[in-house]
Amino acid sequence: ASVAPGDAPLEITSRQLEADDAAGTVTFIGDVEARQADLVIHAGRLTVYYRGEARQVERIEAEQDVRVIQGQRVATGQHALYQRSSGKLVLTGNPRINDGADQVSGDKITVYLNDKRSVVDSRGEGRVKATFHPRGKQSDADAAR
Amino acid sequence: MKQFFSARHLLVVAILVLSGMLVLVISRRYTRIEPVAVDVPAAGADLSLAKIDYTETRGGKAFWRLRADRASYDLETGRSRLHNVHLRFFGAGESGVLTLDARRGVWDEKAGELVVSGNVVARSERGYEFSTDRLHYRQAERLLWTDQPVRLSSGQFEVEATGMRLLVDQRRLKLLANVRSKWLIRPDDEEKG
Repeated sequence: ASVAPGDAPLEITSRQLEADDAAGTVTFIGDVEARQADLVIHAGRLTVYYRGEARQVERIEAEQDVRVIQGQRVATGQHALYQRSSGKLVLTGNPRINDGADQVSGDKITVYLNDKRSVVDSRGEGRVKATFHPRGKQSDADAAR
Repeated sequence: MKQFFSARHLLVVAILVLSGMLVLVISRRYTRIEPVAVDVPAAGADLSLAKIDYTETRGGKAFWRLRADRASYDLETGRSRLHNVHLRFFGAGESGVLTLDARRGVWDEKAGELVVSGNVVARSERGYEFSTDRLHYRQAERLLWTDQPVRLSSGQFEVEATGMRLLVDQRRLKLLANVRSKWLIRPDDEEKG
């Protein structure tokens, strides 16, 4: 049976690590890179929350210059929280998402990793800003060059 | 001829003779007493012992236990060279017991420092295990540390790194450099959102 993205092994590298078994956390510190299937998260600090004796991953919290890359989609922000059960990753702290040349920013970006969908929210008076490049014009311009 | 040997002179001579005799007696009494070897002592060791069993307790509570199949104790340095070392650290609260085995060790009781080496493997009751080549234990701080490569596995999680510090009581662990980890994710535990 094919492995769903959320069930692929999660590989994380960093400079240092701190583990607190009583609290059920493992924190990766410094140049953190986490890979799972086609998803890559870069951050200054990343904490994995696990439960049970099998140490099953419940959620992952990334902080400090977070970059989430999935195929052509790149989302950035200062804080990201990924819930494994829902496959949802919520970015805050000046979040922005680029998909190819298109870009959207707001106060909160929710990335649905299992079905390649994102939702951008803004709070109060803030507004969502989006820049889209129509496909057709772009490709004609390329051909003319 | 004046009274040559006055009373004072006689007194000085008597003191000299007495102190000479005293030195002689002292030097003979404190000669080095060679220990009676229980067994054929290993090279350079003063005392060879079998079946070492040492437990540190404070206020009647056991903190850690050191056992070894053989040891050679150096009277001069106060250090013991241990063979086939087995340790048990009794943690605080729910952290449970941490056991540790190694081929060799050197235990410095005065400094309260133990160094173990050779296939060092530790296992915790809470289901994690780590291994390295050489590990130090500092009794005063209840700290296990190494600067060597270390490998740790725990349930679905495996990690390799260089250098480690583990506070035995709190069971808080720090890996110091080159951290590379893999977390296996079990699908059956996933509750779809």
